[in-house]
Amino acid sequence: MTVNILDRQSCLKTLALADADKLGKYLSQIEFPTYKVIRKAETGLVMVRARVGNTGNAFNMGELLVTRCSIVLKGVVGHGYVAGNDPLQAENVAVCDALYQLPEFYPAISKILKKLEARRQRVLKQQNMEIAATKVDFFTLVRGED
Amino acid sequence: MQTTAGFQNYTLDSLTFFRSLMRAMSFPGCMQSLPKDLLPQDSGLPAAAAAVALTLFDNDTSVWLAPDYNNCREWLVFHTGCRLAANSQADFAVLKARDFNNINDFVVGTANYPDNSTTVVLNGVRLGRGERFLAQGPGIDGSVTFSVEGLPENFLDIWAENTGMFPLGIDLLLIDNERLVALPRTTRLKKEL
Repeated sequence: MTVNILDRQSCLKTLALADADKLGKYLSQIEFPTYKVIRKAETGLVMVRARVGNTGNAFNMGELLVTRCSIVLKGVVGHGYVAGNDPLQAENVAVCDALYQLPEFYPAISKILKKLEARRQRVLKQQNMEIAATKVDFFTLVRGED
Repeated sequence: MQTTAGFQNYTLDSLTFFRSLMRAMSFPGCMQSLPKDLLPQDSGLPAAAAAVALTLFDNDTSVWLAPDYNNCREWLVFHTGCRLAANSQADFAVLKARDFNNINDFVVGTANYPDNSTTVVLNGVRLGRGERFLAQGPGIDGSVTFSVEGLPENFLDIWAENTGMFPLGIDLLLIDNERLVALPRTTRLKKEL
């Protein structure tokens, strides 16, 4: 079975943004065959490119520390890339990525992804609310020059 | 072909192999032993060639792999990020020694940039037996002899052509399981009787 690239992208996005502890916990609850690490977790800097307002010219916003790891599980290669220095999460993401591509584990991983994504949305919403509560509107009085 | 692991400890292992390769290149014709337990196994390439690849190839290098090694393309690109190229454009070429028969299959550099040439990695030779060669040139105090089995019959002619076009030419690595001999283009070879 080949997983649609868009699905895999969104799977990797959810995993990369997921809470590391929760991901570890969920992953420990499913049983899967042993895997081989083909690229040990390693950290490095990647240049983040951005555009002001998502238009205009791209510029280098800054460097981001990234941890990556690759594994093989039942002949399927899984890659994990996460922001920051977190070898364990990178490995867990790689394992999930490999499992996601295996039909027998696809449902279990999808379930985990749903939970992680729901959790992330909750946290995001909470944060947005906290931020919104401190919103200040500035009014400028008409100064009557003219 | 299943992608397998590369070096266990990328930084330290590649430094170790770099040291071996530099020694080999600076003492042409002298056999260098590679640290056996650090060699990446199961890559599809002979282990020592795989170690050379992990040490020297990166995303700036273009590599030509002989068709014999087609099944390790994925491994090579995954671990080194190198570009696979045609033999007439490659910085490195990896092939079996018996198929090495023409210098002009590879890049010999230009008068302005003789360094833009192919480093050729030859697998499948046996060192320390077979035909004996006498090597002379920079890096060799007087002369040194070494023996190799498994080179093509006209190897000396090919090599004479290579040294004849100095400063252009290719550099050679002869690889036996976990030993290697380097022959930079400055090394002149004769048959030792």
